[in-house]
Amino acid sequence: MTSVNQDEAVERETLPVYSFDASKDGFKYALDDLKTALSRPRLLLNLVHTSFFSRYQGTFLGGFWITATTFMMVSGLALLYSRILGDNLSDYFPYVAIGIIVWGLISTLINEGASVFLAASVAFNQAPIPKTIFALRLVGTALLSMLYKLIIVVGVLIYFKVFPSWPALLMAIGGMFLILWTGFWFTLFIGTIGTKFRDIGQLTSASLTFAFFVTPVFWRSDRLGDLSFLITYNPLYHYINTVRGSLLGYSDVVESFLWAGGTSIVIAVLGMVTFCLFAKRIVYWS
Amino acid sequence: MGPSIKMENVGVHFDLPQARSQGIMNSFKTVALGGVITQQKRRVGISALDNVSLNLKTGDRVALIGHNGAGKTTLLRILAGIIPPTSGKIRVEGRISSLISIQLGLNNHATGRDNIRLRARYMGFNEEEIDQQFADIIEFSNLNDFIDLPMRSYSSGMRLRLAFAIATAFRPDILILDEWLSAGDENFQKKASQRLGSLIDRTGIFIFASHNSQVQARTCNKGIVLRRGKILFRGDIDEAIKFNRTTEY
Repeated sequence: MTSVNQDEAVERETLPVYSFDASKDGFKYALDDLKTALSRPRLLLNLVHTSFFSRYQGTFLGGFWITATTFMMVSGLALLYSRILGDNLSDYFPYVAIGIIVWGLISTLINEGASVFLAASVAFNQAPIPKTIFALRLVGTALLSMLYKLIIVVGVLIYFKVFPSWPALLMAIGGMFLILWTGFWFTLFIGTIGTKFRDIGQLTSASLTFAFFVTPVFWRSDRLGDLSFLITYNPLYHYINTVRGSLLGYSDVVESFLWAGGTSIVIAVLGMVTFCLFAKRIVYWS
Repeated sequence: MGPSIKMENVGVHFDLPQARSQGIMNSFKTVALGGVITQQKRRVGISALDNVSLNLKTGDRVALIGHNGAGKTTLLRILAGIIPPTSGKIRVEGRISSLISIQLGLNNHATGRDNIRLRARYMGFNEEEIDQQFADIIEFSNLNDFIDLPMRSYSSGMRLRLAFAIATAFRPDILILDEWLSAGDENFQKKASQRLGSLIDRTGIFIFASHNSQVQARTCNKGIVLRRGKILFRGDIDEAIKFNRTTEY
């Protein structure tokens, strides 16, 4: 008898509690959502794996198709534009390869961030699954496809005999994680308002096309002349430069880290505030 | 004490912007909730649940009775923590398992074995719990060697059997069921009914929305009649069913 009672006592203590008060618990709801998402890493890995590899199911190359696609784009750009822009191929190829790849990471996070909750609404409309886990899934898949593309960066650096120092490598990795960190909070921000206002998704993808051309992704940042404000006040450039500048040894890397770090704080606050205010509405909007 | 559920004046109301205008800032709802259409000036809204209070404790087996759009599923979703209510308070103590959309999260390209883990993680169970139930799920699903093949090779019946076996393997404190679950051929259906019945017997609180009053009478001891988002009657299961039959509304 005693052992049964003890068992019951243990069971009683560990009963989980779900509580929600519509008049004041919006913030708690958002926080619980985030906590639950972080407490289920295996589900997150499953979701990342499924959403990433389902695209390449049954193909011979699998995820390496990303590597192949990116390589074709980068080498095409590099071979042609090094001539048009009158640049040295051994300087320009690494520059454009890293630029395009980091830009790909940033644009995926921004573009898919706007529809992150809309795309997953079937799941959290039917099951008690935290919404944040889908923002984390986006960051996870973006990281995974970045890893496939990094093969190209490694290959290009070796081929053109660019060998960054260990501190430079660490800085580049730090820059990449700064992008992922910012991307997570930006996804919570743009994903939340993008669920309510469906035009946001279209607007971001249109703006991103514009941003691609005014940001030095495939053209050299040192050729701007009196247009240099395009890079000084362009956070996207600074994010790219934290990775590319570190690897290629540019002098303005520290400045870029300051800009990117500052931007990431602003965006993190924006994402937190937006999500805390409206997390409880997302299921109604989606 | 055990598991308990407390709801105070819970309501679910929301606006439908697209019913009001076709402006550029358009958004629309995809969740089918039913309820009552409300109109204040030019704002069109839906009241899916209105002022619902509930107090459930261990041993309660509650049947939710009502027509389509009465708010049964909305109430279940509120209890399961899927929808936060727009007004009122809710407090649920105990592990909840909702057997709504039991195939959600299954991956066609993964094997049956992998899908057991996938789906159980989806439901929020941890690795230890999954390991404990793993053999039982495989045995009950009766898939034999198919368990090691990708799920796209399954017939729809096999798929459902696996989903059913996973959904009913874990014993929660509170069980939420939207219509009786069934799977497979006649033989399997009998087995499945027994398994679901035994799961219900072992859970502290059971909440069951259905249009089948016979099954509700058999499995529940209390009844709640909902109509257009409001609780119209609550009490003994037989009385609730009688009320629902005899009252014109």
